Amino acid sequence: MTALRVLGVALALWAACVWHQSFLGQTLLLGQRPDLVLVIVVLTALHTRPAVGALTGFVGGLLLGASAGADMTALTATRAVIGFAVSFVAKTGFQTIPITVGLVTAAATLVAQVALLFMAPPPDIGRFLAATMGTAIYNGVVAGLLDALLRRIVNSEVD
Amino acid sequence: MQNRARNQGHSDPVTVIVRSMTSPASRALDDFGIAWNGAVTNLFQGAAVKRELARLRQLEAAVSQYEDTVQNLEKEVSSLRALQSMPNFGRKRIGARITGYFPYANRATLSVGSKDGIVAGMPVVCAQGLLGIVQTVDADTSQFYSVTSPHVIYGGRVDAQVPVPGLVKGQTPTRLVLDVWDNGNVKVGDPVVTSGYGDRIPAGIPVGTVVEVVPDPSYGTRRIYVAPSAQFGPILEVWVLK
Repeated sequence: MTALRVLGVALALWAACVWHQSFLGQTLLLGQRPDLVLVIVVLTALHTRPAVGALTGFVGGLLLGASAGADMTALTATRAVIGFAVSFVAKTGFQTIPITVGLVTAAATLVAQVALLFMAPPPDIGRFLAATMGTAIYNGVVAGLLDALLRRIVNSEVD
Repeated sequence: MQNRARNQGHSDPVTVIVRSMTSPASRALDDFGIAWNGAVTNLFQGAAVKRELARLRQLEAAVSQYEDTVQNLEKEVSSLRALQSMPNFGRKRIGARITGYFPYANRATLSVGSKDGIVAGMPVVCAQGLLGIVQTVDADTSQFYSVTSPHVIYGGRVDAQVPVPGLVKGQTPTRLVLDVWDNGNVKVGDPVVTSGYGDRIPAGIPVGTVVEVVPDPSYGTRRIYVAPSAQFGPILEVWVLK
């Protein structure tokens, strides 16, 4: 990744954290809300090496945990693993079109949140799982739309 | 590190750094969100807000009307109390209600008629004084001229130190005229009452107050302008003096 692309990803993560921290980001859309930090991590991982994907996930988890006051250990670990896994799967050669990007993001969201469930169990597991389903769908839709935009920032062929 | 810092009651350095980078922007985003939300609300709920505004204005008008109604009722109650306590001037009082008022003709209709013993020429009084004189009588209703009508002429006197009698007639809705021949000392503010020089109208009924005195030496008369004490308004209940 070039410095400009690193800066682009950092800015995207920062913007996602700002959104997540604001009341606007806490606003529910149809009863759910997207996890934009995870979307940025997955999109970046899809176009980079596994190590960079894991690093992006780690930084994303760190930012999210710090800004939200959540358990940073669980967030950094789950996001790093997801970043690594998505990047690893992307290297197998599947075609990254908006639909597949959306599906992968939705699946990654489910896995990351379930992993988080085990590492930092929430008080109401049922509600957490229901929210996870909604967030996964949102993330899938948002990721498909953002994929085209992020391609201009991160070029996976270079890395 | 996070848990250790929390156990010590403060945030860890990473959290402090990250929040210092994200908090100002998130607050700005919140401000934008509030403004945006307001704009969207105005855009999509403008009609509802307009309807609500119209409803509130109607309520305000209703409250205002209610206050006016209460004030009118209070006036009517006090007028009725005064009417009830006024003297009968040596005559029998027949209670009546004004059922119609024709201001341009200076006439009003009463709810009593010949069946109640009403005859033309009887005085109609309210708590403030003489209101009119009965002109036409039917079986169940009658009509009277207001004292402000130029058609009404009756005996009156200025209740000065030395009473000054004369003839009172209406001129405008707010002014009566009293022509006198006596050279008494009439002043502005003196009360004017009926003189009783007639078989229908008893003496002493308040008519009004002197507002202007115009002497006419060439004819030896004085023209006195009087503000009537009784006028149409909230008055509905009256006495007819029989």
